[in-house]
Amino acid sequence: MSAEMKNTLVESKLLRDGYRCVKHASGLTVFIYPKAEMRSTYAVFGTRYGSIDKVFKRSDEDKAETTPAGIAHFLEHKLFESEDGDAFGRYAEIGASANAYTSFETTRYLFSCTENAEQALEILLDFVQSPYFTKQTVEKELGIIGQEIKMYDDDPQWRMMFSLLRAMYHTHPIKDDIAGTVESIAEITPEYLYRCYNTFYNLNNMALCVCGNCTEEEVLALCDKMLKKSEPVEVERVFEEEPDTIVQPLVEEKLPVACPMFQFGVKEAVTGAHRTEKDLAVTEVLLDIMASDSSPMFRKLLDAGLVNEASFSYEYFEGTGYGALLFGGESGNPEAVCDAIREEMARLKREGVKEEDVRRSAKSLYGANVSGLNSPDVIANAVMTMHFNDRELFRYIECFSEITAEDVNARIQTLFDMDKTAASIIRPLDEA
Amino acid sequence: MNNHFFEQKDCGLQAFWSSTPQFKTARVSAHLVLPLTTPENAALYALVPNIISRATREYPDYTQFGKRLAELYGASVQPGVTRVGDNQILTLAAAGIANPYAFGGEDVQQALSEMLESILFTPLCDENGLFPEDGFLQEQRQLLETLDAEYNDKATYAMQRCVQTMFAGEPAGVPRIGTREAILNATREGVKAAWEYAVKHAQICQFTIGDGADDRFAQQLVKRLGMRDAVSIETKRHTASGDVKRVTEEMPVVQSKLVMGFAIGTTPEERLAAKLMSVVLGGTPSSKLFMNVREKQSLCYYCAARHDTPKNVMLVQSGVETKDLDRTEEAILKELNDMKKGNITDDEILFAKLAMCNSYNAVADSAASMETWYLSGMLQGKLHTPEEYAECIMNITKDEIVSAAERATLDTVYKLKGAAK
Repeated sequence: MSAEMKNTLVESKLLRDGYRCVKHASGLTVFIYPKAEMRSTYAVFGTRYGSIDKVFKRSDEDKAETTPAGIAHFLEHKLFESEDGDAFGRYAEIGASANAYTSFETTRYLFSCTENAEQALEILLDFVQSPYFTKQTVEKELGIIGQEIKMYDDDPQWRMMFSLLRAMYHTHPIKDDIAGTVESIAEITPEYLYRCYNTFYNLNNMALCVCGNCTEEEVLALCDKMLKKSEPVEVERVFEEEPDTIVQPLVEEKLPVACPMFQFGVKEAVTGAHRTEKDLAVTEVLLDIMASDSSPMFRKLLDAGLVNEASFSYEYFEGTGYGALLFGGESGNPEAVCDAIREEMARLKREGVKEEDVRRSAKSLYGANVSGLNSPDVIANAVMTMHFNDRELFRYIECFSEITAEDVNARIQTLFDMDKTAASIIRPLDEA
Repeated sequence: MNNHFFEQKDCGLQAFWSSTPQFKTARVSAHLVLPLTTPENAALYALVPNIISRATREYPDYTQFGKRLAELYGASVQPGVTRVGDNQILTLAAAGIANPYAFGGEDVQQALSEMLESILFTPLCDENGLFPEDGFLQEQRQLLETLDAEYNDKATYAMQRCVQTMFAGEPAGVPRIGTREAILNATREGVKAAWEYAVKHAQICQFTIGDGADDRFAQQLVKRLGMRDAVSIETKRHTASGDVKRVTEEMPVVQSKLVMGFAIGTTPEERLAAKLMSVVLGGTPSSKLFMNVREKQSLCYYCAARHDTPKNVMLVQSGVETKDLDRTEEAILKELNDMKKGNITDDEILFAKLAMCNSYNAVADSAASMETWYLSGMLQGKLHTPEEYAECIMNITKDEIVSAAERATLDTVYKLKGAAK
């Protein structure tokens, strides 16, 4: 092991689990979460670089720079290629299954395998550190990503979600499609890709999590062998100021769907700091009390025939510079559902929540999170997401036992602002 | 890991349980398997799992039942309706965290087993012995909305249209939840009779998987069921009908969809060769369709093949520009024809084999995969371990793959054609 490593064991008696966090000498943060009885190894190598990072400033430069929408996702596609073939082919040779994805805030490369885990990890660490972009390979990708964008254009959920984000956000790039547009990706050049790669794929900006059939020694030995030390460059994400208002309260669109669909959002005023584990847990308890299967609001909507169990959903959607409560589903009368949500917000603001409801919802959410700890992919991605937001997974799950009605009621008072709600509705083409 | 299986033929029950501390959950489930017959019957049966699992005799109110589940650390009762081969499968499952994680010391597993038993055998009824009307109407409406949701997702919709066209006239061509009309015509009496028939005559596949899983629920089922005549659930393999069935629908969508159905004339003994053939063609990122249709010709984002083992058919699907629909169809056929001619490299075969072995070897790492795997074995009448399949796959020769490809006949082409808005 290298001398400069910082090494911590994260353990939970309640969850009967533990994992190791190591700050590697190269700058990379490495998590190792062994699951002794598992045959599979799952690894994810990611960077804090997503679709919202269009404008950035490096700590070793004076000026901020603007790049085309969709470039983080484009880069993800292209990183699989090298001069002598693509990484998929190398994984295929050893029977590992690989993939990658880009979100608003991160780009992640992953594999799972039941044999040859060390080789698979070597491939992962190698290809993510070996960019190769040419004019020719960039052009080839335009057709493939163009079809990916068009596939999402026909996805009513996706369309509706981005319409809502555009109705809520004035300037924040969260409102732009992750893959960009057919026009914006046409501006992408190999030079842009190298520039973004060299900025965001600095190991200090990245993390690795290996979960399942693995040992600390094996993973760290490979890190020592494969990782190239990065200069300690920091990247500042640059956003225009986002006004504390919504853009418009309602957006409607028509698509070839069989029934209307809605998404309703409550925009949160955002401060600079990341939300803590407890902030997150408290908000999730609030949402559960308000909208879960056993909530009075859901029952009322169900009895009125306004929602169905299969499609009604809710989430706390939050990240750098944005945060919102989102509710969505199919409904014959979307306006009535939105009104019911507003009414419930007003009632909760007036009456608050009861201690017994908080206790029950917290117990339920604790159970849901414990269940997630079955799967190496869920674990590894949760560890990464928590890390990129300066949070820790076990601390978050254990938090649910500490939440009180007072915490939830305080959250209601700051979050429920009727002037900051917006709705996005999709209607069938033939609806009058 | 400790896997156990038993079959009680005189009560139409197969049971599997597996206990391992690797999982922090436990799930108990029962799959009631019945032959598909008509859309009317399919709709009645499809309503059963949803109606009987929305409340119980012990918790007759939907919300109170939901609160009880939340108290049990967010446990869930999960109804489901699927089609496998010519059969409809009604699933009822109760799942939650394993007892060691219940910090309040509750016996979550016992509570869930009792709940599932109550739902299956003594569902909530009104004074007339029927399922309560409010629950019936709720679930009837929601099942209709499930049909709508399937239309909204164009890839799913296109796949269903191809499958229903290909299997027209066969039980597998009956939609798994029936048609709009059949759902609308369902009555409470009909659903009650469907439940009674299912409990008396369905083949039942039962699973208990998780930390602390045992056979208590299976033994309880044996007692509950007693001796009974269970229906036969054989699936007839699909054979090509001669002319290619072609259906094209227009819709104002941005991306067109192409789904091609092939009958694979292989024997049951050759099922793994047929499966491997479809993986070589389009099952992985190193497959012929991915490498050529997507990567070389940039025609699409996805172009994938999968083998439906019970019906012995292969389905290929892709999303493309409307102008490229015919070109993509030709490109897919060209890849298959190459395979028929024996143009398959050793790497293509090896990579497909390794990918399949990887997924077989990972089955035991996921409770859901284990249940899917062994359920499929029960439906086929013989259980194999994933490791046994992995070994068989590695022994399949190129000649066997080519021979399976040679017998693949184009049967149905469904196109969802994007029209300018």
